Amino acid sequence: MASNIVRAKWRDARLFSVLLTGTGTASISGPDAHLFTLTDNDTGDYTLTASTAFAEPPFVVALSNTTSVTCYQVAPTSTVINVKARTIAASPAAADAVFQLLIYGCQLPSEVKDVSSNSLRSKWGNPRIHHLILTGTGTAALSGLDADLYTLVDNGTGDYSLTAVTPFAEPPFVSAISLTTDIVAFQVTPTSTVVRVKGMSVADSPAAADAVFHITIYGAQLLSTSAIV
Amino acid sequence: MLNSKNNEISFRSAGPRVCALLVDGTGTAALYGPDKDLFTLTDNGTGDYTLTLASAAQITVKVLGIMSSTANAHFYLQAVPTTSVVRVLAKDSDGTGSAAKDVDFQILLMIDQAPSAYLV
Repeated sequence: MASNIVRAKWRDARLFSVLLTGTGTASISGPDAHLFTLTDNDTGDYTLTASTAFAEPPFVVALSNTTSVTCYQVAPTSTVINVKARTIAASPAAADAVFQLLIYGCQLPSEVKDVSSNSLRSKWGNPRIHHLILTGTGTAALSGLDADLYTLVDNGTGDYSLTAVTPFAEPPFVSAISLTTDIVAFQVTPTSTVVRVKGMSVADSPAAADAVFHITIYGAQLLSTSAIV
Repeated sequence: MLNSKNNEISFRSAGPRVCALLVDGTGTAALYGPDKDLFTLTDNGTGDYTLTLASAAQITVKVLGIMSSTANAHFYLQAVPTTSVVRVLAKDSDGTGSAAKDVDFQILLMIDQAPSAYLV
């Protein structure tokens, strides 16, 4: 294993996906919501507390489902993830929002050894990650390793729907990062078959804008499909 | 698993691994996190960071997400990542949309190492 250069230091590391709805009565849902409790601290300020501590502070990324709101985080601890949301505007302000979180962490060794108490286990079995490049400028097109697993519809300026040829078991986690200067990606909350990505300009009055996006989709199969290998 | 006829949602990456990095982009730029030893960081200027994989991946690196630790910032990628390089640019989100900004951020990457690296 000495030459296994890309070996990770974390053992039994896992990805967890949570949808945080911060508008109205704040709530969390998704395949791994059962592992966390949510506290709505204030406008656009949310704390997720892990019911079982991670071995080290996890890594957290997010994609906003609320147009013209971006999120950031305070440095997480082994049990607490604090995410905040703010508007894109001349004078940014805290704002309630909906966003998907992808949390990557590893367990305490004592829990890895004892499967029966393996309480940091994701509900998703056989999850997969798809990678796409969405070129939304000119004639919209999909490319990348998994482009043939989706069909693309250009709904209008800066608005694209990707329909999975085969549905996921549940709505997947979506990450979309712009490859175009001063355009930020947002999404409509995905369904099991449709991922919808939007591009908005960063300006005092953000507007829909065509852009190129780097997209990753993390989801799980229907059991009837994954059982057949 | 590769293109198995019945396995309808394919997973073409041969041996993917998630890499987690914390980029300290304020002050003297530095890398932290469990996978920091796999990458080198170059600070190209304000809000402009290049992550270089020490051993190139088999296919292009995928970015699973980027999360700022600093308020009012947004990110974009300078170009589609290659098998070894991911370049991240950070800017203000205060509506001007033009000011590069040094920020601290977490980034999750997925890489596929060449099969030869797994077999040893």
